[in-house]
Amino acid sequence: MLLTVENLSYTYMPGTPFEVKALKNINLEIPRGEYLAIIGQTGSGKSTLVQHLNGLLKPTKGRVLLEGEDIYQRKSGLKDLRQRVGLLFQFPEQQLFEETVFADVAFGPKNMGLDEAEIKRRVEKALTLVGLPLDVAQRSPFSLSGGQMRRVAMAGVLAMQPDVLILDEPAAGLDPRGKTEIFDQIDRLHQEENLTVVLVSHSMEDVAVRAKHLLVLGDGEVKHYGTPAEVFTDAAELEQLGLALPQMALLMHRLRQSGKDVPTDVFTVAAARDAILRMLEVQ
Amino acid sequence: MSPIEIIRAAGLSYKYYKDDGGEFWALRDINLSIKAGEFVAVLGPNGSGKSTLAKHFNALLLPTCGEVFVGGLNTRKPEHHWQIRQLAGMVFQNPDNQIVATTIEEDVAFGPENLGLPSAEIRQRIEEALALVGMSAYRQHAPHLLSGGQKQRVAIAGVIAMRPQCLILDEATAMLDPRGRGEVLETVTRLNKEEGITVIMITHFMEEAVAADRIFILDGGQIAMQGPPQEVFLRVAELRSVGLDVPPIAELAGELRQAGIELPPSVLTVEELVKQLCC
Repeated sequence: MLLTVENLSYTYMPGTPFEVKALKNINLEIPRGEYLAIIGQTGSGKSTLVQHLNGLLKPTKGRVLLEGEDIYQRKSGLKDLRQRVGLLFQFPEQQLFEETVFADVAFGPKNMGLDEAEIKRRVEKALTLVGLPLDVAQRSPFSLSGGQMRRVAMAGVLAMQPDVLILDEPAAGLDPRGKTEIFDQIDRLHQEENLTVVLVSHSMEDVAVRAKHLLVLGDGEVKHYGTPAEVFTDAAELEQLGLALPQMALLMHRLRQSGKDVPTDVFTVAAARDAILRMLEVQ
Repeated sequence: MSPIEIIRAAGLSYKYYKDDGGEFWALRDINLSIKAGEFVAVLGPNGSGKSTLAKHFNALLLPTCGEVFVGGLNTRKPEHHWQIRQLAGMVFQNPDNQIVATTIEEDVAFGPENLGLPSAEIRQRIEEALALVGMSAYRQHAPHLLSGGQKQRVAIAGVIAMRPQCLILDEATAMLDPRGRGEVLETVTRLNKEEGITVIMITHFMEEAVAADRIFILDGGQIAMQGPPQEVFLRVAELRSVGLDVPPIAELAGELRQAGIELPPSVLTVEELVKQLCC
């Protein structure tokens, strides 16, 4: 197992009046090649959970294991962990700081102590992977558009050649085309580079059709885990957790409530069209 | 009585200077008229000029060519700016960048205090404004402990306390989760329907535009399409060509029509489609 979360609990500011139990006894396995989406309302513990996966937060109780080893007891240390488990924060373009795109993307590989030639190779590969032309390398990251800056930030993580890429709301603030592009890019990294992906997102439409598994957090606990088809079956419970169903799944749910016979695992417009046409034929 | 015009742009163009000294026309010859009490959504891909346009509606930017009138006042005249900004209040994208005080009521008081109102009047306005956005229970709270949706509602209250005729939201829901977005949309819809406040909503979310009376689609600094959502969202191919999308239900309705099922153009939401299919 690539990553294992064992009985993980986390409390912010324990022993003070501001104490908040952010995570309660979380258990989770992330195998190599997984595409996991973590969903849940704001404040449900999503970001707190992913920050444990690369040792930014230390569990109050429980453990996180990388290939069976407690991440705090591995000989290679936390630096190696963070290179293997790459985390892209929300609005990562705000963290760019170097004078050129090249220098920004090279920051990680440089800290890994790689030689110049290898750094150059990695930077170029990472820029290609995120779909940026190589001639941006010598430009200031601040002269790029918001969407391009976000890709530079992503390239900075990919240049460390992680096994796992964790992304916190990678499409926030992008227009529909930009959003589709970034999700398609992540799909490609997952399929072609065999990268294990952990995605935190509010975009139900996208996670429903892209992720292999969904983890639903509510109030710091795991409320659901399964394939999108399994998780989105229980519409009533998800609504109670403050989560919006993907529009097509919601439509099917409402039709069933009105006594129509339609399937539950419908997430795309094409599938919904077919389901409705079948429904009308039967009538 | 025909409704009064609150905003008019006539031949509005705006030019930025880029880092390398080059010019970039962010807006080109925009002509539009928005009536008092309308709910208008402005959509467009990143870089299409949406925010630049919004900033002309309360004189944060002035046209390079052409004119903008707010409540009949020309934004070119500096002596109008104070009044224009009171008429047309703006809420921005990042809630953390626009809250200035340490408690909610102090934050909402900021605008009215600057208007130089007597303190009894300020108190009354704070109460009204917080009630209108459903945040009265939080008046003594510290802003940093609120959710994103709550912060944006406080920001809206801060604008409402100025008694504007027009509320401009510049991607005010972009950083919020679905519930927060729902809260903000519900709040501005109510302010529009019940209080008659004109709403201009700049957004990336097609679902939000469904609630509007009229939609403007910007592309490359020009108005590419305009009309009520029921008309605009029928033009799927055109929307896609500018990098936008249609709400998924509108797309599905289109596909069902192609398969020979009769549906009125008003079908844009799950509820409407269920009603059509089940009756």
